[in-house]
Amino acid sequence: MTDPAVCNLLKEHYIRTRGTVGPRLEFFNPFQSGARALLDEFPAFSDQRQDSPIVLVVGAGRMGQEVICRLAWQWSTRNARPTLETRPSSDSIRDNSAPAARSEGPGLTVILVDREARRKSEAIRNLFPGIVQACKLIECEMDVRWPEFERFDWLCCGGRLPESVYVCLDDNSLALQAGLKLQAALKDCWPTIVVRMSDDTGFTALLKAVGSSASPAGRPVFNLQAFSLMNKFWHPGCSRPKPSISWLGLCMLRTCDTNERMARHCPMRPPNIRALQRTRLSSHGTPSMKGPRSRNVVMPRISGENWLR
Amino acid sequence: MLTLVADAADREVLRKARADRASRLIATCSDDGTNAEIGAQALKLNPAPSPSLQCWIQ
Repeated sequence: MTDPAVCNLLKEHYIRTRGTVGPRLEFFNPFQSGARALLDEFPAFSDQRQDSPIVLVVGAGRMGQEVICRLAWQWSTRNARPTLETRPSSDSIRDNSAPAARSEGPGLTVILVDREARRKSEAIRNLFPGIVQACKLIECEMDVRWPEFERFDWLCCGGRLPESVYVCLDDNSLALQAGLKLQAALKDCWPTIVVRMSDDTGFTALLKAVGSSASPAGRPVFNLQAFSLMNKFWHPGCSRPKPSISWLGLCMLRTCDTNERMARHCPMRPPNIRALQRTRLSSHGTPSMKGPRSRNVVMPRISGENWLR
Repeated sequence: MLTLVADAADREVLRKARADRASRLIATCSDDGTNAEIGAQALKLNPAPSPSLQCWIQ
């Protein structure tokens, strides 16, 4: 599902209505899982990073937005990496509930280049309110084909240049063009430039074939890393070169995630039932359920039908 | 003139067309990405340190 909103709605509806037996559908958004795989493979900063990193994102389409969102989440939780228990749902930054969100200390700076950078960054802030605390978005409203892009005076942020560059344009040719221009502009600091490609053929094949060969200066011919979205988004664990979670752990993780999602969409939640019970009991003059654990009376199991009623 | 109706970005097709023995390869498809891939595949066919093949990519 290329539209994340449709994907989330379908997921919620399906989980709420599907039975427990038979085959099962999984809905995924290629840009959400693609952004996760991209930043797992080419991280912008380490977990121990203390000073404020500067990241450049070219293109604020669906992939670019997800990359920014993921960067902000990674920065806000960099010292509290998710374990099996604390791993967030994909929507955690969306509802401003990222675990251990840290507002103190230097923030992440993201330079966003897009023809409609201001409008799109506003949309990102509305969609993902947690971003405001996690990172500072600097909008550069320009197209990569415009002459302003090639002046590169916008690249400097507080006297520093970006350390990681992610080119997330939908057009492969345009993305490569932007990547090559940035490589030439940033040749002194030599940052990692990742160019998102739609598939593994064409320019991606060329970059992989020629990019690894060294130039006479001892550096690779292209300092560009091609990231093929088509190859990465479908993998359940978003394929990593060295998986940090074992296969068993991954299965447990998926089960926990599914259970959490099912619990979130359960039509009758335990707190509501307790509140209902309290109201009914107090209206009949029966003692309150509040009190020390030892004084609570163990009630008989309620059959399924009565429970639902 | 020998003509092959096939995908030129396929390495096996290039091998069949004897691109590994050619001195010049000219890629003039309408899509830039396809031309780039033809060049990349031709380079893989001739991985010698001083390749004799010269690719012209449109």
